[in-house]
Amino acid sequence: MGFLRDVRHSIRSLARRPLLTAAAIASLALGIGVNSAIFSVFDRLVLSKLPVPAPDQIVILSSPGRKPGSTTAGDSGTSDQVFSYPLFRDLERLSTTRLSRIAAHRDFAANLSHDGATARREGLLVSGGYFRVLQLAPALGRLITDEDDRTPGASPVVVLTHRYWSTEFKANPAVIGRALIVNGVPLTIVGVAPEGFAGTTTMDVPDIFVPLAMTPQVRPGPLTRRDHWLYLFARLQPATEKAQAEAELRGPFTALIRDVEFPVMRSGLRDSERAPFLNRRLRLQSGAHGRQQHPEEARLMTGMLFAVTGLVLLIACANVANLLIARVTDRSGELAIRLSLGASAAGLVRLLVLEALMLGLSGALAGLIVARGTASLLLGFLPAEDVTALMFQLNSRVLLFTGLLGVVSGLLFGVVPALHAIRSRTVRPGNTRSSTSRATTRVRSGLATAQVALATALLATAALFATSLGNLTHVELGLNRDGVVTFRLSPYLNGYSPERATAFFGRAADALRAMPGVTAVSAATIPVLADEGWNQNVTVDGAVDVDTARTTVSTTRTDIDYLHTLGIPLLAGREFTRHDDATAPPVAIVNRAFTRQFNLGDNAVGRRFRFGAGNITTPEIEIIGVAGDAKYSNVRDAAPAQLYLPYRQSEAGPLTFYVRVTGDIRSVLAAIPGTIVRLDSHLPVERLQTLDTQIQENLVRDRLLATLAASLAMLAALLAGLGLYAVLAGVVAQRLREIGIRVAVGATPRDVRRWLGRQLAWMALAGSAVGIIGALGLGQLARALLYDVNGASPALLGGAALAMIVVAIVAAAIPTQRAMRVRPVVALRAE
Amino acid sequence: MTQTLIKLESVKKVFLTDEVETHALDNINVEINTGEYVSIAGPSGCGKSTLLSILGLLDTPSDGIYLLKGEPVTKLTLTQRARVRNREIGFIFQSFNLIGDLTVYENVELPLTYRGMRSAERKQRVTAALERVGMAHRSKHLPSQLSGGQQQRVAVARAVCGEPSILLADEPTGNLDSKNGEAVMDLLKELHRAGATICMVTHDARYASHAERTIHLFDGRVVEESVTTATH
Repeated sequence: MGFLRDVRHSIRSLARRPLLTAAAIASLALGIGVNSAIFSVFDRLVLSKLPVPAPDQIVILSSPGRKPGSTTAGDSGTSDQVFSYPLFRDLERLSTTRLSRIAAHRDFAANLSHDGATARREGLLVSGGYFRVLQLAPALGRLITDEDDRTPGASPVVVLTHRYWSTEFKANPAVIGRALIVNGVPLTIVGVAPEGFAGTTTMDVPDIFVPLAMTPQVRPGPLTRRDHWLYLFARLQPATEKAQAEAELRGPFTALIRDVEFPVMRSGLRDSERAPFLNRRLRLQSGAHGRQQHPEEARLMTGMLFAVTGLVLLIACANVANLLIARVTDRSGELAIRLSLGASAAGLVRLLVLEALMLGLSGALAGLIVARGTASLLLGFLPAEDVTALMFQLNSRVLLFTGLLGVVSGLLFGVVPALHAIRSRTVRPGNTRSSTSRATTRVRSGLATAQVALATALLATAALFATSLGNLTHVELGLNRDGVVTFRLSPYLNGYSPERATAFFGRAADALRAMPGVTAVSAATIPVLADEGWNQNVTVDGAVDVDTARTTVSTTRTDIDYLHTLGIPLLAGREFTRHDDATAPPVAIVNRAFTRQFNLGDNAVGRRFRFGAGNITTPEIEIIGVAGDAKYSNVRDAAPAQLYLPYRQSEAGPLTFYVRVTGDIRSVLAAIPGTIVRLDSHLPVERLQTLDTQIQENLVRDRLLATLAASLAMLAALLAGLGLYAVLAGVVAQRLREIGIRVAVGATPRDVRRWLGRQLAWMALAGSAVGIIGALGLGQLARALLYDVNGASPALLGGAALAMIVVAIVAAAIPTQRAMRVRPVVALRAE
Repeated sequence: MTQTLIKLESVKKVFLTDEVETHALDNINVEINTGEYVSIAGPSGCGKSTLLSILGLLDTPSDGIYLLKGEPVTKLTLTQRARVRNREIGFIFQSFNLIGDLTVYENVELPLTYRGMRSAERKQRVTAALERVGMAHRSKHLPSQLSGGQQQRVAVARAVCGEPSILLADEPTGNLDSKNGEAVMDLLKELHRAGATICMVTHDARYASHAERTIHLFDGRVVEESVTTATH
């Protein structure tokens, strides 16, 4: 009963002071909302489990160590986690007691056509056991089974994701049995996957599932033991530990490596690499939360964001505590009457904490709206495909977290004023007048100082990220990003043969060259600075003193004029010509970093190299030119040793085109789809944008961090400024008589300003000093996310402290003016 | 030779609240000479404290002339008035008005700090003022640790330490019992004997008679001036 009565009183008391209540709830909503938004991302990336039965039984397979040949990793994991198609089939046949069958999957770019329209979407190749291991049932029709995965090319079927079926086919059940053309191959729709399931990779959301046996048809490419590209997983039998399953797999896997893999791979291994290759192990790790390429990076990012938003919440709590202390002082008369009438001190604390908790929970409720807004802002920075995966979802965990923050915040800012009121004897029985003690001022000043400290730390962190982004934006790329349009064409997805595709690329390049304003056109297999890459081992004939651990080079196949189009300087030799085709001797251009890595000096042109290491027999390739160093897949990374090969000397996959333009780039950008449609009306133009935009997208994480940190730091500075204002306004109101006395005995307005300024200076300087120490800690935490910026930079730390001092001065302006205008005769009479 | 220290000519003070004019002082003509001990007496609400506030430059008259040492002071800026108050006027308030956070010494020193006086000189003056009122032994105490009478003696020390031209006392015994009240009145008399000019507001006829001359106010006007023939 007492509790319910206290709740009633609390609601009434909060409603009686609507302005203060609204200010407190708004402060908390901001503080809690930004944390909930980050938590929602954290939840999607780290906490969420796969929407399958018993997700804790799912394990991911990996096999660390060198893998001769080509390795293609994607969003689902690192190169340690990819296996060749033949090795997967061997592993799939293993019979174990600890583990279910092993299943495989791999994403692929899919041009999907139906009803006369073609669109570029995402597909997932899955083995016959994929859905069985996951224990999923279809929403409609059937899922892919072992029957579909038995004979290569024999089962042209496709299963749609629930989302694709709902959006593309309006959830029409009659879709079963209809044809969907996938990369030029007609497949029959046989089913729809269950709602909410979109593969096992967090950041990869496919639209369709295709049997792995259809790989040659929809994702042409080599499927040898030297091509590592498939991701594997399995399900532990109930009550089985990973270690037990690993132990069971050890024998059969070692036998496979020794008897099947090694004989094929040995030619690509140096002597020193053979023993480690033979000792490779199969490792199992938890797959309950799905797959990610860089889980540690996701944790670091969200951890950093949590650190920042946590500080904002602390500042908001300090603000509300400050407001509540002022309110308790205001209500000391009422509370004293309660004490006089027999209320216990514990009862009063309970009442005050209850009010704070109600504020906290109201703040949490309002925080959900802020969270949704913040999440939208956050996702606005990300590429469209990642937005789907990280969309803000109000699930039970997010709700629980938000509610918990409300309760913890309520306790945090509620207990301090309540205990302070009792301890400082602000509230005493019989003393029914409102009064403010010096202790109250000290507590309020302490809170404001803490706010200044936290805001300074955040401002410094924001400055670090902004400087890092600035450095990345101005970093020397080694190429000319201005005036270039880029896009990708994947004719092979529409069933082009390699010969047809090469001919098509030639026609497309010619058509582009003929466009008004176009000065140069080229293309490459690996888009520059788009987080993609292709690395190969090379052995350079006659190279001496080469570090055998560093024989990997970044490779791309290009059209003629590539260096010229991208503005990469040609330092020696020549660029490729139309004559460097399949009939001509193989040639390559290397960059300066390549010549340094292999100690080629200034005489690289004319030297020869081969792909691979050890006793290799691949054809020799002649170096015909040396280019300047240019960044490859990532703006942050130094320009790697790089190799350019003419795409005409091999089978071409998708090509990324570069079109250099003089004049209005937008008109060329707008005209390109029309130019390509005239050549093939069914071929989508992918990722059409300026090179500058593509490079900007490469910095999405940095821009997101810099913008978010800057926004939150400004919010923190604003909240801290409000806190300082509240304290100083309280000081002026509380010490009006003292100011009157000072003025009466001769203090000039300037003297009053100086007196108040001293109090402000203590809070601002002490807060800034502590904030700088905090900033050093945050800088250390953020080190891995920063580029070419020192977390302990005196200029940045000093600048942050200075900015906070300016905020403090602005916050103090109104209370100071008020103090300077105090009329002693009024102030003294007030007493 | 007696000099005119303060001269008020036709001074008026009108308060405007809610469009209602309240005439607190009306046509006040007062002169106070150097070395004089003047009391302002009258019933509650007659304008005594308002007059004292104007004399102490805590407030400005609505009309009329105020000459301090022959200089008009009604048009001074806030800063100029603060400087005049600091150098020429010492206040003694009914409720002592000591600053609770400051020690006795710091309270007495306060007006001198606004003068930009050097520390050594301040120390000498503060010590002398505290010895004069018999509070030197309590210099490190806080006001809350003193009795009312002791607090008022500290307030007197603060008022005199800057050697002002005039001491303005507003009901200095109002918050004291009769014994402490008498002691403070004796202290003022002693200061007057030593040459201080004093203007005291009181509604108590017994204490008014301590002064050489009493100005009687009623409804904001001077209704009578009387000279005290004998002192206690």
